Amino acid sequence: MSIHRRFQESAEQNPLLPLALGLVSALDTLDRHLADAGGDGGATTPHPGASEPPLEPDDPFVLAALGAVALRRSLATWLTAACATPGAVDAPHADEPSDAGRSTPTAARHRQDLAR
Amino acid sequence: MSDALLEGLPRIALRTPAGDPVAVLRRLQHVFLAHPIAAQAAFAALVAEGRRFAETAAGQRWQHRLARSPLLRRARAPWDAATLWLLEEGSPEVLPSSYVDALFAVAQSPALEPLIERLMRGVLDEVAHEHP
Repeated sequence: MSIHRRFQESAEQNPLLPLALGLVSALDTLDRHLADAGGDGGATTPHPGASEPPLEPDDPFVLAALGAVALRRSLATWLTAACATPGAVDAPHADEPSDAGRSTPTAARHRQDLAR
Repeated sequence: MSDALLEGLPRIALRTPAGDPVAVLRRLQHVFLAHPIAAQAAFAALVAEGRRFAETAAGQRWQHRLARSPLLRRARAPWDAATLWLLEEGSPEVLPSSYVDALFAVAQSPALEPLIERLMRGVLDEVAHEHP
């Protein structure tokens, strides 16, 4: 069952759920656009200006787009866990400190990425 | 796309939008004009999130792809026009994903009610301090 469907089914029970559903929907839309923008030239529609010089990787505009990708990953991790069975989200582990001194899905994901 | 990074993601075909995209971007302009401080804070937070993500292997792959994307490059000009060149990088103390992490960390805690009480007590103390 999709995450959207799960939220829709229980949206009336918790006022936070419509907010979460809206965030997932908005970030899914952004995700689709960024996946297309981040493709290796394989977009369905050819983009004009393909021969123009690339943006600087350190450009705040690029970094903001990158941040949106990261935020979407973080939200997806938490919301997917929230849709799983109760207790599916592990409690923080003291031996896996994150930036805030506790383990979180986002921190764990960053650690996994850094380990690759 | 062959990269495993993008596996499972839906693909889109860009066509002429049904509505007026300029009208939608005008509304975005109005939001930025009405709430410039909030807009700047949100943008700076996203940039900081991107910098942190770029420290990871997956983030570096995304950064490389986005930087050389013709579509994103072309999106730069309408974005600047829609946001009136008002946005710049800042130094937020907390990343957006940290807010998400904190919310769910509190939600998982067996001491949920005391944590909410601390949260509310904090704002009440600030109000009392500012308006003794």
